[in-house]
Amino acid sequence: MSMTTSLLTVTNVSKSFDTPKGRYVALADISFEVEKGSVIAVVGPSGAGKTTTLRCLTGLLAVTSGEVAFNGSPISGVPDGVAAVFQDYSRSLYPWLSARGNVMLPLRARGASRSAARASAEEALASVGLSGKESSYPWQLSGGMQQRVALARALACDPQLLVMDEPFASLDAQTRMDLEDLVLALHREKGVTVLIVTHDIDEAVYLANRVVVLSAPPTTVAEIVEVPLPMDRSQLATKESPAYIAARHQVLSHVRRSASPS
Amino acid sequence: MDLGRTGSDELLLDNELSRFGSEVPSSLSIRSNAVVVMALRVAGIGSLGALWQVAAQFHWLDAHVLPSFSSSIASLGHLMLTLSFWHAVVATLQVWSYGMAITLLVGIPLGVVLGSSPMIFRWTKPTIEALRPIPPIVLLPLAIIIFKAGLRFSAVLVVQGALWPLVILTSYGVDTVPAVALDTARIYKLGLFRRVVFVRIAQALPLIASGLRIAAATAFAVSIMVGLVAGGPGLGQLLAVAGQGFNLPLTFALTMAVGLLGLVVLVVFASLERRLTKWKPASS
Amino acid sequence: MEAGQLVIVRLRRLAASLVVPVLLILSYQQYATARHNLYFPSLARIDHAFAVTWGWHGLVKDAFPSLQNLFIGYFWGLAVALAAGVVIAQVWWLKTACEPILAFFLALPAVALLPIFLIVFGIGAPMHQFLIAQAVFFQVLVNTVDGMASIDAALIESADVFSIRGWRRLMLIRLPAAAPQILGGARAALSIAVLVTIVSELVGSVHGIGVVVLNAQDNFDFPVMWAGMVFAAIVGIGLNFLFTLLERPFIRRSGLLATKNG
Repeated sequence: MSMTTSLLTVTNVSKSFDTPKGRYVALADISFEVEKGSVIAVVGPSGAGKTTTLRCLTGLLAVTSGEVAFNGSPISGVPDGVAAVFQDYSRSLYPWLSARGNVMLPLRARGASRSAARASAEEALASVGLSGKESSYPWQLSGGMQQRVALARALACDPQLLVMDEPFASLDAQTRMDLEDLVLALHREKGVTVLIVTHDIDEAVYLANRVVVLSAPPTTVAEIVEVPLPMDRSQLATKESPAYIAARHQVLSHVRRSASPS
Repeated sequence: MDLGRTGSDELLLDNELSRFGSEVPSSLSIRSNAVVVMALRVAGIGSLGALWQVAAQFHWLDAHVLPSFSSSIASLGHLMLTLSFWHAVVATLQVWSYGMAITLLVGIPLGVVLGSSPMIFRWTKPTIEALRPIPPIVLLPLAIIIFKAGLRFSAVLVVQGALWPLVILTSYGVDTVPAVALDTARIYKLGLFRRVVFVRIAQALPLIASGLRIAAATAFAVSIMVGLVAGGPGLGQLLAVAGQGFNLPLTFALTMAVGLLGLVVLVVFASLERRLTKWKPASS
Repeated sequence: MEAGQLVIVRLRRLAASLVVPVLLILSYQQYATARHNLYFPSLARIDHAFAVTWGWHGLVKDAFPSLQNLFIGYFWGLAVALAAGVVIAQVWWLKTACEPILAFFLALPAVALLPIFLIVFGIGAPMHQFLIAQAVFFQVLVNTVDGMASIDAALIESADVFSIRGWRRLMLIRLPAAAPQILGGARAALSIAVLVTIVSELVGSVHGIGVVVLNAQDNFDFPVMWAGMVFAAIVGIGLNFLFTLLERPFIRRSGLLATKNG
């Protein structure tokens, strides 16, 4: 893979924490690349440090050793051009702001005028299927709708990299399917690169081009599985296709294997 | 009724957080019927009054010591028609508001700073824990010497009583901003001002509101105490004079007036607290 | 981390916590010795006055009576409030009827009842004890009733399902669940009790902590005044600390000790 198409390059990243009980090695050695315009899923057994990995990649957490390069240059802190959607939407969205207000906030923070921010916000909300709900407050919206607001907020910033940390884990299965399709649609439309951390293997294989399987701590990359499916996917057809089933089988067996202590 | 909610410091946090999630046990229709509730409340007050009247009538306590309910109420009525009473009310409220203003201006920023920086908090927490339990009365001789009788000396005492609960609760509120909210702010590059005001303070508002309620009630108590004990102007002073003069109905009437005024303060701040807590959804 | 390292960490924390108080005390000493202000005697003189005033004789004469009233008043106020609170919380119409009365007495500063108590009880230990007990009573009562009433419905439903009733339900489920709230009220009541103790002595008592301070001020004996103030502060801090120690087993049983920030 040539460096020029790589948006995010992770090289030998490790992360350890000092705890009262001693030094805890969360990530031992993580290396992989995220190509521009691709969808990468990161999976692993429980406790595999998926969220820690994500926080290191986005600059929210400083790595102990190794390098994370965004657009070719090493990051320090959160780089420009990254947007995120978190699992806990009720605490990530700001409850005293309307849906529109929430989406506008990052835009205003970077200096957009009120009218420009408002226009972008309404457009983003429409693209996630929430037109008509711009003035609603988070507590008035269902979980799925709140997560759509979070998605709209991320997309309104026109990011190069969209990072998602178990975004649908707190939602019911039907809503999850709808939102997965939404992510695929938005990816097709805007071509944004997506990095999604999830514990749901089916979801990972359904959404991604490649699946990075992490091992139990001290975490390394156990395997990277290619998903040879076209990006035009559907919940019914794709999930019954042989290619999907094969990829899922591969991912699941690697996850299972890396969960048991070696 | 959450007028009296206080919390011990370490517990306060979980106390408040659990409050957001807990639900009132399902009530029968008769319990939540507004008319029934009002009737019961009136009945409660009424029976207390009746009990008092009976006690006075039948001399359960010496007549020199317990005036009748009716004469106390009458005295209260007379009192509220006199100008000096209202002067005193204003004077008490002056002390109260002066002290509260300082408490707010110092307490909330201080609480925000302490809550935002675990390092600073660790260094100053023991000092605060030590200063807090010092009863305002202890500062009275010193304050009177430094400031002489007047508004400033009263305010110092009020601040000693009201400041610490507000600082501690504010710092807890700011400190316990969910990590996700902070991560979100960092990802979206929200500047320092927005991070502090929109994320930390806004998330901390319910606890700040509780701190305000406790501070307001304490400030009121100290304002009265100053008048009672140190001769500062206000209802406290009127009360002290009435008591020393053994004017029973007047003493009882003034005490009731103080209670009613305190109730007004409490209700105002309790409803403010309720309003600021409402928008926050139950934590999952 | 070995035990040695743990001790060092703890010592460092202790040192950090002492820095600010030591600085304050040192700057006071600086001010006092530099200015030779009558109102701000040097630490040496205060220390001397402290030893004289609060030596054994002084403690017995002034401190013990105050503290005795405080403990008796606090204990009875607490006990009756707990009992009454449990009962009132059970009987819904009683709770509703009592609400305005409780609110009134909660809003009424305990100190404001001093004139009435003086008239009714005259001067003497019972007056102090009743006043303190009354102040403690309302604070604890309101928090007990409130705490018992806001127990999570799920806990009560579990008790129903498993047919846990009566005394057992009260002692094993309801009181532990309400414990944080009740303890909070008890702690606030302690501060109020200390305040009321001292204030009630300022009117017509011959012995007591407050009396010492007041007399010293009248006699322009400022070292003794400061010694008295310091002593009162120590009492307040010491009792608060004692309360924290005593409350620990109850907090631990309610499972709240280590939940800050998850």
